[in-house]
Amino acid sequence: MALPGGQRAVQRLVDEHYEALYRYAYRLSGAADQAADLTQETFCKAHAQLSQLRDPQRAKPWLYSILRNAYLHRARSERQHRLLPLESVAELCELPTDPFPEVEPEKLQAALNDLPEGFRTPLLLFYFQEFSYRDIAAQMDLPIGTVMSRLARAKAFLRERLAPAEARRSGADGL
Amino acid sequence: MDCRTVRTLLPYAALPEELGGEERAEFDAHVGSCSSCAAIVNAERSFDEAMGRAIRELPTPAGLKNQISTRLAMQQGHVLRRQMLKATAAAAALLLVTLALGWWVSLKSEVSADDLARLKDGELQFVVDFRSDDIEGYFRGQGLRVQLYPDFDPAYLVNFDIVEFKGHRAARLDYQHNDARARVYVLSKRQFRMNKEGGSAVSGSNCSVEIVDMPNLIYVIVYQFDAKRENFLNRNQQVG
Repeated sequence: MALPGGQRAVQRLVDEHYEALYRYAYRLSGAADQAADLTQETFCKAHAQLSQLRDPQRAKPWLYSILRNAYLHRARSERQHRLLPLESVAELCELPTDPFPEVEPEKLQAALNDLPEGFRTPLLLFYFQEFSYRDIAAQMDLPIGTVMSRLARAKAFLRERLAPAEARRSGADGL
Repeated sequence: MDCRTVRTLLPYAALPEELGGEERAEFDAHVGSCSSCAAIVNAERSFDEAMGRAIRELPTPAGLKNQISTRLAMQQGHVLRRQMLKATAAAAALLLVTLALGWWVSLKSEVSADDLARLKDGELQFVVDFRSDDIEGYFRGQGLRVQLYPDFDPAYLVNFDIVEFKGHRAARLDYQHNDARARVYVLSKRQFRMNKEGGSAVSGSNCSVEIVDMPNLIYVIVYQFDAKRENFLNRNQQVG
């Protein structure tokens, strides 16, 4: 049986974006079951609000935005918001020049989990290579300068958490 | 471009669309000729590549796509069920209203002008001195909502009473002007519906009947002998 127009459009969105959205959800929430649930919820909401998507070319940021809002809603209701003082996220003062080694997935997720959402989101959107700073700023409703500043701090935080011990020591000397 | 500018532009260099054209060319030219900046750029690139790979490399659970499709179908089912429920509720409400209306209509007694014209005189209240709202108040006290027939002059009202007819009560008002006499039955539309078949003359009688249909009330006016409507009109409505 042929699907109605709205359902067909959503199914196309599922085909194209569900894997990337799942990864984003996983990195945001840090848990596979929550990520799967968030991904499903995102498409259900997209289906219900499909009329709001005026430009099909903007489907990707629209879906990411729905997912982030769903995540934030849960995080708020579950009081999972992490508050990391900005001071603890160092600015990148002196860049180490050695090539960065491969990252262990568990350590990466643990470090991401420790980042406040306002820092984690621009970092994830940046590394998904899907969004410009302008896109990220629009999604987060922040000025581009703030996005870039948060991104720099988030990178510095990750570098410090994930760099080998000897590199951390030499980096700390430079801070 | 100097080292300071290159290091300031470093975050923009990661995304092709953020740093382009002439600025990109100058950036690349400086990095090509400055080993210190090249080391920083390479380290940043290496870090970004390692992070990007690690963040993106994540297996998608088998069956997730099916789970999404199932949940979407369930949601669609919920929507359809909700719509059907609404439609069913609306239909049920309509049916209920129709049934109630039918029941209400069935409670009304059908009455004809003939029936009313043949009602015998009963014990009547005799009007000595009254105002129309006194009369209406009297009927209201008896549980009847009655308005005197507005076209007739209350000065000609000589008697009033309550009559029972087909199980319902109705007001009867007697008017007299000189020799002309008329009886007016005031029927509530909640209780009566008129059979409007037949003319104004009552068979086998010297009476004629006029039926006046108002929003909530029906006035059945029985003119006796040669009496006519004009005999009882408010004075300002009388012709001549």
